[in-house]
Amino acid sequence: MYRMSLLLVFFSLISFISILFILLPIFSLLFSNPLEKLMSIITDPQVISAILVTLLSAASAAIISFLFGTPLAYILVRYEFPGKYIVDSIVELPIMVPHIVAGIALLTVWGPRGLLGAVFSSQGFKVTDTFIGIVIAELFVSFPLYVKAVEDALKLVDPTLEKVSRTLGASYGFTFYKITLPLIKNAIFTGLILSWARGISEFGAVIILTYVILYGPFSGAMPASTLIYNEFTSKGLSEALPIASLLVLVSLVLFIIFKILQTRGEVYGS
Amino acid sequence: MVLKVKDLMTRKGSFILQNITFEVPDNSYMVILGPTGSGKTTLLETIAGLNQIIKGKIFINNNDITDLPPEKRNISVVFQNLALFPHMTVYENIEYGLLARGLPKQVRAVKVNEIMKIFELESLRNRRVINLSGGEKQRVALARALIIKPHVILLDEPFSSLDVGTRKQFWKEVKKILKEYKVPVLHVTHDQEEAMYLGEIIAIMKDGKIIEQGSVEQIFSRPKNAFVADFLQYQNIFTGVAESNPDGTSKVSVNGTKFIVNGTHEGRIIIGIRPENILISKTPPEFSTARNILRGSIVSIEPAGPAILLTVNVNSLLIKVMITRGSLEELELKHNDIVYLIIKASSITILSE
Repeated sequence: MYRMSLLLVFFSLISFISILFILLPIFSLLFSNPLEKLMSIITDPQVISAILVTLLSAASAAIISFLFGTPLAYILVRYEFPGKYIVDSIVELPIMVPHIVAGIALLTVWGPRGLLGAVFSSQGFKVTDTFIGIVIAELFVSFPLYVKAVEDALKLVDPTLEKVSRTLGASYGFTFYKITLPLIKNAIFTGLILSWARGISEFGAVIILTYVILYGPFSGAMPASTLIYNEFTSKGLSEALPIASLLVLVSLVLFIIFKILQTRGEVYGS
Repeated sequence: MVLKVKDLMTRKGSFILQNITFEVPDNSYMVILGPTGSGKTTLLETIAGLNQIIKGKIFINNNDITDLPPEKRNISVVFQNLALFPHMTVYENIEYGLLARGLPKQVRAVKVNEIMKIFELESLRNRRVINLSGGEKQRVALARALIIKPHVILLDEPFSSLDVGTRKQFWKEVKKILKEYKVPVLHVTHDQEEAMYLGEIIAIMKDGKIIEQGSVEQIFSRPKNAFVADFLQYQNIFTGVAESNPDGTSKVSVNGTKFIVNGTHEGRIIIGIRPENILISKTPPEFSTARNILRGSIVSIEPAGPAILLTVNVNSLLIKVMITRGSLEELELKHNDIVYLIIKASSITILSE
């Protein structure tokens, strides 16, 4: 009993240090700004558009992850096929690649002279230096997180439920919509938050594809992380700090809202 | 409706199911009995259309359904884990098949209410299925399977999660309800008692093949196959050499011990004797119609549930005998006691390999 409580104290201490390690820089960032400075940048159109671009591009990447990642996760969990483990590893590849390298790799595909970029360019459609470029960079790095979250949830859904549904007269589609999807909705939500958060935090791949938006919607805007980097290298910490704080604050508020919504949903085991 | 399965062959991983042929006549209850891993669930899934068929045909009333997808077969399955949809209420679970068929809400409501009354589920209609007891879950699964008026219902060890008392009560209820629905039933289980109680036709499955089928009486009392006899707890299965007698019986010699069996047989033969079909006496019986009276000594006395299993050494042949606890006390049987085993020739079954 004595040993047990000592272990518990030790674990609690370790947990406290870990939480402190995460919270300290965040709080330090948030509270090292004079309030008037923070208020002034809230009305700065450059900052507003940067945060808007970041949130929207990350949300777009998350939605694309949902549309493409859900069927992919389903195939990977439910079916056996040759090379399945290779496909599974390919999905995880972007997690392992340094993000700057990911950006360069994406440039060789989507750049004006890239594999697909050249084709799009010839049709007058630009990917680099556009909002779409940011979405593609964020999608590349966040997609594996979404797929893995949904895969893990699908593994917990008993395939017999889907079998019963079919024998009761439901098609594949009806079964997926009525049985599978409701049972993994929490994981889908978690996957969306994870990939959205990952998209917001992406910098390396984004600056390679779109440093500043030159064409299309949000023309002239920079993604928030690029703007912060730009302010930091050109004007110093004092100028970068309030923008960084604002980005953290907005992300934190949205993240908390999503978490509350998620915990309100029910979790079904099987 | 009649379910016919003809020369069916399928594969699941490295497991192969083959040469499966049987028929479940209209309104009858067939049980496939077999040990775990014999392919019972794979067979049901194949009939339901959930597994690809390599060879063979499946018919319902002479209509070939082999190539139909599961949703077009109208075959309901109740799986071992019941597979109730955990995110739905009792009502929604039962309604599901009707919803999948696109029936209007009002029609669905009438049908669901009707079947909920039969299964006494009205008070649970809005309850989430994860909050139900084992018996309640069982009833919901059956109601869900029957509401679509299936051509055939397939049951995959559906009572295995229930405790013994509830299980037996359930057998009665289920048999009665399924008879009322006049639907052919194909039930797979490893439980002999369940098979004996519910089944009208029994098939025994081993390693992906049906090795014997027939009526309950045929399979349990006169199995033809040595594996079947062993699986049905015959316990005394011996290989010997037969010599026919002029009176229509045969003498079977097993390591020097002689048995008289009915019928004329010659050469190598396998015989099976149920331990409960052997009588025991401490003195040589003077007047008996039994053709086999064997002398031996008790080598072990073991409890076997409510009964006692004795092992008797007869000329180095170990014979298992089942007696009641009362008989053990009354005869005051002890280790090394000399006893006489009394076996009727008709109690000895001739088995194939």
